[in-house]
Amino acid sequence: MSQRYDRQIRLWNLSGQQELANAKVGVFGSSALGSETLKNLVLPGIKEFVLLDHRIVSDVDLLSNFYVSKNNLGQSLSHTVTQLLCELNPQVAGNYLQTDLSKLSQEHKNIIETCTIVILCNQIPTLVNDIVDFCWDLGIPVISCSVNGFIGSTSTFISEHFIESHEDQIEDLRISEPFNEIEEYSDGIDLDELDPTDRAHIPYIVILIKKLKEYKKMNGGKLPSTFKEKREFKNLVEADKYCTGEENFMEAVENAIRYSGEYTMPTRVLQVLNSSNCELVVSNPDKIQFKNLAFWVMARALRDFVHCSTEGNGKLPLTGTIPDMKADTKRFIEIQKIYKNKANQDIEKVYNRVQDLLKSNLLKSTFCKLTRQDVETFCHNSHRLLFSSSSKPQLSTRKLTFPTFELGEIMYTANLAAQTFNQTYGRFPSNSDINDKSILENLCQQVCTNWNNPQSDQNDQDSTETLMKNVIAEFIRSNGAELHTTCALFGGLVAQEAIKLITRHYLPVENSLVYDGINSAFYSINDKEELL
Amino acid sequence: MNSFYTQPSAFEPDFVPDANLSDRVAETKVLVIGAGGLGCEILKNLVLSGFEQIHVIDMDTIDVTNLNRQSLFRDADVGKPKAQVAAEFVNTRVSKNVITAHYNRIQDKDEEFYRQFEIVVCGLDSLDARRWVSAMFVNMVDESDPSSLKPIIDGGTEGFKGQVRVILPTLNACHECASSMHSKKVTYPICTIANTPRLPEHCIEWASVVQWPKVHEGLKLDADNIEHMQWVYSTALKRADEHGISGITLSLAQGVVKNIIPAIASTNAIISASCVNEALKIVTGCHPYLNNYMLYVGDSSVYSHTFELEKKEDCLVCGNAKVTIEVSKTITLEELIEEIKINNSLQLKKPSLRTDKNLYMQAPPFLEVKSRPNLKKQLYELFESNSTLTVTDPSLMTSVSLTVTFTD
Ligand SMILES: [Zn+2]
Repeated sequence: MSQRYDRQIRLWNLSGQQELANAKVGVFGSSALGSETLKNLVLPGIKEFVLLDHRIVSDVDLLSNFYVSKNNLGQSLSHTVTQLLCELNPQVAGNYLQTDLSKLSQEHKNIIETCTIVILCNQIPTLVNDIVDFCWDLGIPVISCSVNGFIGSTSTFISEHFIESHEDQIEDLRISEPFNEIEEYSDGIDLDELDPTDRAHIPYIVILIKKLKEYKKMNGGKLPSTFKEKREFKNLVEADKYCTGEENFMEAVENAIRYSGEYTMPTRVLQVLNSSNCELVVSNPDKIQFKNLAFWVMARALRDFVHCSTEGNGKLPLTGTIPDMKADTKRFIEIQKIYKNKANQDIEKVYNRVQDLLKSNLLKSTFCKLTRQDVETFCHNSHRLLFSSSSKPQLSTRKLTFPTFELGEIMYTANLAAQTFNQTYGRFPSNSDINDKSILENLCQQVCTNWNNPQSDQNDQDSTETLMKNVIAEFIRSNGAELHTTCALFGGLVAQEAIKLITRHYLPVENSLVYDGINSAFYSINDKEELL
Repeated sequence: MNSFYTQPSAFEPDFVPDANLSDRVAETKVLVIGAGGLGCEILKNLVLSGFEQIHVIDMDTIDVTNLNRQSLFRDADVGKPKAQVAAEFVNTRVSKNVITAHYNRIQDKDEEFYRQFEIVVCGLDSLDARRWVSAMFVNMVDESDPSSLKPIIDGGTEGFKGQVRVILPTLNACHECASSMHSKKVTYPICTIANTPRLPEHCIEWASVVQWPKVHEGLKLDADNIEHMQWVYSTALKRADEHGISGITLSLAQGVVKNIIPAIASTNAIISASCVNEALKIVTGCHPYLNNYMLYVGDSSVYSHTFELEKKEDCLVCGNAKVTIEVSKTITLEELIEEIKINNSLQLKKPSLRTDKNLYMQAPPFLEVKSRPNLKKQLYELFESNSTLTVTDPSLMTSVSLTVTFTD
């Protein structure tokens, strides 16, 4: 198994591959967008998928869908696609259901409940609303996507999520506020006593901790906070009598600005820690979906750890990894050990809190279990906790309002309006009916407040209105066409987002994304109400 | 697709709607270079976009590690030529002969072969091959014959990242113009490897680069040979243990020694589709095409950046480059060749040198033998200071003029 997946395990490790191998993916819609998305999930080795659709294979499918062929004409589309996709990877099990997708049925719900993630491809807005609504409570992520000609858009709906960091993305060195062990280590090194060769091998972590101490002494005990102050600190490092071109000192200079500021807790993590679920998990755990319970038990333990002055004291558990830096082997390994040990102590404290919580009367009856490994993974990635909203999105009643209204937002709105058009008339707008254009424009106004009053600045308004006009013309021109290249590209994008969510590696798109094949660009769209 | 050909584009005022455009697409002769992760997808996308005259060239055979992303290959195909299996698979699926396979190295084909195509889509994983293709098509441009200019759409991926670029040979930036932004293999300083190892990678490099040649004199390390890799692994592990370094695995050793670049189906799908999207826009004109570079980054949310790479006036391949090198007149020709190989603005592997006579020719064999004695001669015996040498190299189609100035 690992040989087949070698090139991807190098990205998401065996832990991510294991998550994939356990994952069941539900896909609604088996035209080109659905089959291309699934292809990119079958190849890397999910456990199984289920594909739902009502259609039979037609000539149109032969033109855009690679996972049907001539001799399947007239057969079930989802069955055909499932069969041909399964050839891609003998380790993946494929299921299909020939079913009406005009509304969410009990049969659909029964299937969804068994899925790790649900993907909706070109489905009508009412079905999207109902499925998002249903999945939100179950804690099952939903990705809804649609393409129209050269344009596509996708939205992700996740109630809570945390991901594994990658070492090149997070460096938690605590240089500005060193913990005791690393401060003692750094105090124990006297640069004046070392010979020049030894001095050239002192890791920049130590140099910066020493120089910051010096800076604080000169500045009434305060850390640099403004950019100007950080620059001054950098100058101080540069002016050190030993800073004469050695690599380690150059590294210290390079990193001086980045690591000299005060410790700050990432906003997203604060949102999780301040969430009412952190209260609910101890006062009324039955109100939390069982699937999410483990997350919130750990989040609560983490909050208590952060708030406790003898434990986190306002900081998250230490990540415990350090980047490579110029140093001799002995000192580098010593420092690596200090960070690792401190990280393990922090994990231990959170783990103890988790076990105490689980022993409480209310939680005991839920039979929620958490291993030391679970807590370790959680702590190691606590900088990357994601939590999108405390209440579920009300898609059917909301109206979009964007802080900025540019090409991406315009395309997103028009695509949503075209889907609504299709839901009402059973076809996409085109130039065959002269009224389609004004109906589509009206729908755009209905789904988005910006459409009525694009922008106040006169020049901007002209160009925004031109863009709106051009985008409407393009949607009329494309007539809902599922262009293969757009489906293939979007299939890649949606599968990649699904993989990030399933493996819990790398940062997923939290809101919506538009692909613009006309100008070869991607736009991220913030279309969700900020509730926190 | 037809509705796009028969109606005007609001984003491309120059487009003239034409119902015959689908025939035009079907007749366009397109060359796909590479039948790997990108190539498989590019072929499928071209066919489902209406192209029917497709050729594909690839010298590789299918390996088990390809199966996680190369969608036209099955377990039973391992060991077979990629180009042939890919072509046959698509032709069978669409019940039409639309793809012709060439199981060849790109260098095996001559200019006449490449001249027959109107447009080229590249899905390559090697910088050397890209460089060769770009130089070949720049070289082919004949200003009096517009059809000699073939647009190249070049895709590449690395993990969650990828890029697409449109090269119009001689008109915009060629591969060489942007050589400074190509990522190179991660290298570790030899003094770190030898004296102050800190990472498992340092120990693996020590085992494979320093220890292997010492212990196995004359035997080349083969990263595909599992016994070789076991030796590298255990040697690296021993060194790591001595220094208290952890994290050595066989998989990491293979990754470091083979310089394995992670590759996944989803990124390949995004980049390949983007390539074919550009091909379709270039051939039909139904929307503006990419000018000329799109970067995609998918590891932290999704980020893309579209920009124009500038053509370099003094590009080695498409500009009027004058490269000068300063050396002592007492070094030998062999030493000069080494200098040229490590010169960053040249990046050559097997340079041949000429003045008005052959100084050193790497091939053909009879010329190599004849010019070999010059290697040991000192430069002042061969030419004067400020002489202009013509340098040719298998990685470049054109020759480069190199001025050699003596410092003494
Ligand atoms: Zn150039």
